[in-house]
Amino acid sequence: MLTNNFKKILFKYIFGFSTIGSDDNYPPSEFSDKPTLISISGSNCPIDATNQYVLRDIWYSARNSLSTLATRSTDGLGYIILGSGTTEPTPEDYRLESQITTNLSCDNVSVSRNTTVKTYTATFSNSGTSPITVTEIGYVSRTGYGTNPITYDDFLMDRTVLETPITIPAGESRTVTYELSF
Amino acid sequence: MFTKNFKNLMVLNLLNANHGGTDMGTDTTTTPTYYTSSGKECSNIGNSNKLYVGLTSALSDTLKTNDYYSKSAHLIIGTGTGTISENDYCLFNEASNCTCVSAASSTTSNLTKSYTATFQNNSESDVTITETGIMGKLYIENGWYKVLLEHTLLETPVIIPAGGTRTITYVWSF
Repeated sequence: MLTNNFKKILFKYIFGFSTIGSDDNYPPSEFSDKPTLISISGSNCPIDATNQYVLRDIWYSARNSLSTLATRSTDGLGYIILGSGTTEPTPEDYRLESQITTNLSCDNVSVSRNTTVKTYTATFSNSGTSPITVTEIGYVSRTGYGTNPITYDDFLMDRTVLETPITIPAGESRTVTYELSF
Repeated sequence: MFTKNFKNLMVLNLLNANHGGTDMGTDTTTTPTYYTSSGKECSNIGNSNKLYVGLTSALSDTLKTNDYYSKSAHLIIGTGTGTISENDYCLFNEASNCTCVSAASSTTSNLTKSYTATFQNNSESDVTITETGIMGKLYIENGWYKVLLEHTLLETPVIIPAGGTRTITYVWSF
């Protein structure tokens, strides 16, 4: 489920920001509020929506994170995380219910696209001696916010609870594929 | 229903970025095709950045009453019926005898945008409105064209009496 973080960034860009090119340099009519994103650590992070150039940079950051995947948290890029929570997702979610970090690493990522579908693929390896059961997946964007200099933090853009849990046996890998379809 | 025109515009800028840069990315292997309100087929991805500028400007700024202004959007109404499709590029039958006499846009909450337009029936007969649309005027390929972004078939038709007016409000919630 797409989170409010994702919606706020998208909404602000579509409806509160009309400048992206040099020949369109005029402010839109709604430019006074500061939507607040919530990072996966729970911090409230206001977008400086009063500054069109800051907002533009934030948008580029968020946009890039949907275009280019990383194996882990990297400024301006997106990455996939796994967890063991089972609570039904809501738009208010800002983190996984229970992110798995022990003995789990992301080794390889790729991105592809056709006209209206973007596909994100990430391979996770279990370096431990016990199986890891995955029940939830998140897409995280390390997006900039605030006023210059922009500060980066990690924002959950989507949280999905799997209908069928995935088990990664000890010493083995499994590949997760996300599809963002319009 | 959002049209394929709108989806293609969104996908181009959401999913096709150039990391760290301000231009469109290098993933240009698929070239979306746009259909203007007259059915003209356009597909020049080289103007995709401008296309998105046009889209955001059109949807951000104050709604217009007609298609005179570039980088703008206006509401349209029609009397046609049929099955709505994302491939629609015009209304089934735009009401030519009704004109928009005032229009405005506003944000009513953090994640809700509303558009309001008042139409006047200039004919001597009642007009039954069965469909509405959001039309953007965007730069595609080599000029400004009207591009249908959304098409809705009304569950309950609205009658505009002869010489009378009716106000339509679009609410766009995320």
